[in-house]
Amino acid sequence: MLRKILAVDDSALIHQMYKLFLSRYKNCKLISAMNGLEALDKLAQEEGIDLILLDINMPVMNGLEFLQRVQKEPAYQAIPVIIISTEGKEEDTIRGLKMGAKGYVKKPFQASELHGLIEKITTAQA
Amino acid sequence: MSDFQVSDELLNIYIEDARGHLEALDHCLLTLERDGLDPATIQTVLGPLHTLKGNSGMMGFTQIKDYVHRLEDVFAQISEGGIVLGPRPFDRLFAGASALRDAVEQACKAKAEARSLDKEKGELDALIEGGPLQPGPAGGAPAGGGSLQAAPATAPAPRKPRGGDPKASAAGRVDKEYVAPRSSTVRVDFAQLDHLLNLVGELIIHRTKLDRVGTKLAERLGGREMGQELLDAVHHLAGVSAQLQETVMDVRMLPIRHVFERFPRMVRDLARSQGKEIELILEGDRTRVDKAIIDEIGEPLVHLIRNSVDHGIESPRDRVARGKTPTGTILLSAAQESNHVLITIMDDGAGIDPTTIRRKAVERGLLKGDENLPDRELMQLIFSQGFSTRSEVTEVSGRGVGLDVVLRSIERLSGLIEVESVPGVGTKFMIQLPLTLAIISALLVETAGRTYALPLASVIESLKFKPAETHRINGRDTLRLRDRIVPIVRLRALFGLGGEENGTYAVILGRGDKRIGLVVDKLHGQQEVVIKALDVAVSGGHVPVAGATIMGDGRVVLILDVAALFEGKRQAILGRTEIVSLPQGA
Amino acid sequence: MAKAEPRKRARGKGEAPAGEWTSGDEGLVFPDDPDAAAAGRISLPSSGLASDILARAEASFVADEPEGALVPASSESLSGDAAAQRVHNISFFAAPAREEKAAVEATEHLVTFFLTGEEYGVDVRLVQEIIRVSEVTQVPRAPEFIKGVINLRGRIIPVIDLKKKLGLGEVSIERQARVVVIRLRDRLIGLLVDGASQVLKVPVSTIEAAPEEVVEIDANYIRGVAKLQARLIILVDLPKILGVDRDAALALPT
Repeated sequence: MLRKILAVDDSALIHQMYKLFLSRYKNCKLISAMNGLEALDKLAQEEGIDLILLDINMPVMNGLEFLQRVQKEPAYQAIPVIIISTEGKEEDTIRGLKMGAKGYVKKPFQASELHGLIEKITTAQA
Repeated sequence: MSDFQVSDELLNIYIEDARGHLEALDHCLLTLERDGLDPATIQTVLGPLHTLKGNSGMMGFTQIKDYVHRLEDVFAQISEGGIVLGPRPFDRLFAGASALRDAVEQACKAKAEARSLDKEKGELDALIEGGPLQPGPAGGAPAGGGSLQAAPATAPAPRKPRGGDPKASAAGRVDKEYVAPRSSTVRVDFAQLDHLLNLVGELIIHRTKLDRVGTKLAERLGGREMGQELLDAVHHLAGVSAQLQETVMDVRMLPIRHVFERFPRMVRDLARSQGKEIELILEGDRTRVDKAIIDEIGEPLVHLIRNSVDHGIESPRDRVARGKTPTGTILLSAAQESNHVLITIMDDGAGIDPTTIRRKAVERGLLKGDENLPDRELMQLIFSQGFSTRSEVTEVSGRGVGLDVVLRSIERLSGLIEVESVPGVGTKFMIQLPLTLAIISALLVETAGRTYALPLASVIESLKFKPAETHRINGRDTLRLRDRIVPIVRLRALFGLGGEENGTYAVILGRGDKRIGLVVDKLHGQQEVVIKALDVAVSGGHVPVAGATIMGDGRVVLILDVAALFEGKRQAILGRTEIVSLPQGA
Repeated sequence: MAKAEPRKRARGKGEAPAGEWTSGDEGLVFPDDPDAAAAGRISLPSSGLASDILARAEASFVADEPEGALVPASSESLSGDAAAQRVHNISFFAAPAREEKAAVEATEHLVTFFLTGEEYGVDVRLVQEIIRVSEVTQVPRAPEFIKGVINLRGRIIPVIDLKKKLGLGEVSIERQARVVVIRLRDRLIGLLVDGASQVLKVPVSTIEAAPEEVVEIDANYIRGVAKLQARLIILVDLPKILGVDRDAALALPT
């Protein structure tokens, strides 16, 4: 049961798409952050985040740095992270996976692909 | 491949972002061309390109996405010196940037990719594979210390170009990769700002009312404490709402840089296509102006600048023959003055010849053969409809778009435009615009029981007169105003309001040097009003109305279009539509 | 290992302080993309679970061996053809749009009103609200059919006398007269009518082409008539009457 999803990306367009893609999860709150630093703030403010969708290339604090800090916090370690990958930056994605992200999806992606991955990851957790 | 419908909302977000990224690309190319290779310059464009790539991919614009990806490769190579920048590579890059912009705009219009970028992609490939094309001038020494030299790399460039401690540089790089620091701004939909402004407008209306009622009530309560308290509260409210109004107006103000930004590129392209050398200097691009103005002023400025490039600046050979520098200069400047913005477009080109103007004016019937106009007024004729001092219509300036369109655009913004010129030396266009369009001071008048608003900026004065004081000259009613003869327009007749004409107030309106007197029944005082736009079904054409506003009691009051009154006057009074010159001194 | 691709250098920020990548680690190649294999670039399928990808990473070869490398287990892949995955479109929107179209075909949802005793209908999606006639401010020198403008909650909208526009005479503002507020994209336009009727759904089967009798109005403005038990509703084409492109007018949201 997904109650809160944190989406981290510096593109307003992507956030809008998340809103649409994730609308199928009723009663699920979508929280947006524009960079890693903002995302850390949101993690602290909002309790019970069930999933993080993480872009890597962002200003102020990028996704890998954010992930690294998150992995250090016992409170946040367990939250599954999906990396949003871009072509040409596969190494960053792999690095993220090695750091503990549970999966990734490459831009551009279809809604169904994201849903499928989310399902796999959340059932694996259960 | 599945069918999909891209929503307008998504497209709006996409195109807004994309335009910003494309500006960054243009800016980067211009800077590289002007200042030479500097990795810092390239770094600033990588972030926007990356985001544009991702966004375009998500929207399904694959060609665009692939092209941007290729651009990223190109910039990476440039950064390492794998591509030497000279005039030809720059031309390709600029052309590519234009094509990209075009593809993006077309894709948004059509809601799907509408043009191919294969050719441009091919050119980028050629850049990457071809290695150094020409040992072109790199435009001066690379700026800054520790930057890569613009020469073919002899060894593979180090993975961390800045060298030094990986941890430190990684931390440093996080900050330097993007120019923008921690965001201290909020992204706001302009529609919301408009809504906010509407609310402020309502606040003003009701506060004004409260002011009146409160003051009266306070008087009735005499010197009693409650009276004083009420007055204090009312005054305080007035102060706060004035501040609120100012703040909201302020938020709507953006630096005019947003408009100016596109021009260096435009001038460069135009100049090159005509074999001319032109430098565009921008001044005062931080000057802030209401967004509504920013939205509208772009087009007239484009026309004026194109004018300078086409007809103003001469070819390098002609210039040298006249003892000028081969490179022409266009100065575009903006400055704030009390409550307006002054925008100037000045060039050191061929100037405008008054004799040519005169001849054309007579040809077009705007001037009688023997009529004598002072040079300054003669110049203003170039803004008349259908006036053009060039026999061919150049492709660049487009067909039939004349300075009359520019004039109309500026007047729609409640602005003024004037021109000064010295033949052989140069030309200067001066545009004066109000700082804000949304709220204006208005004079309320009444005729035949209906109330109308006149923009105070156009009101010179108002006076009461007796019917006996009007003189009929050349079939027109006029009033004597000190040393001038002012034609009058009767609002009742003009608007077909019926009833007997018995107005005794004349509001003297000014437009440039001209004056007319608008005859109304009553004057109702000044007030600040929020201008609300009228639907196209109502405005335009013969309707001399510039907008409308809502009074405290909910009544709609129309705001009159002063410019139309000046023009319509001729039509209404004469019942014809031909242009008639005004009597002397009017 | 051939790995020098310029692309990497252009970005690559945020190295983790611990467990740094060294050149040797980046020998992961998935031959979805044979070009990538040849160029020595890393290639990943369009999505995946960490457990799968990292497992393969341990077992992977260095890029010098283009053909011998592993083929990703496609049972895991969430979409079929890898190549097709490269070209993505947002399929999400298609579903609702199709559903909605299906519904629309069965019935038409109308708002009806009266003009001189005849009942007319317009697409409900165009109607924002119906209000009583308030003070209408005349606009001088405006076209004849424009009655004026009104204040609709702070927004000034034009009011068109629909009878004048259709050549049926003039609407006299009596108690039953109403203004039907139409929304076309972001424009709001009020239609002055003799009286409002109701909102109803009519089965598409009841709609026919306009018969000869209804000849007073320009045939272009009529979409058809709905013949219900005791009534005849004349369906008018509002965008046409107002001179607006129909699809632009409706601009159906997804």
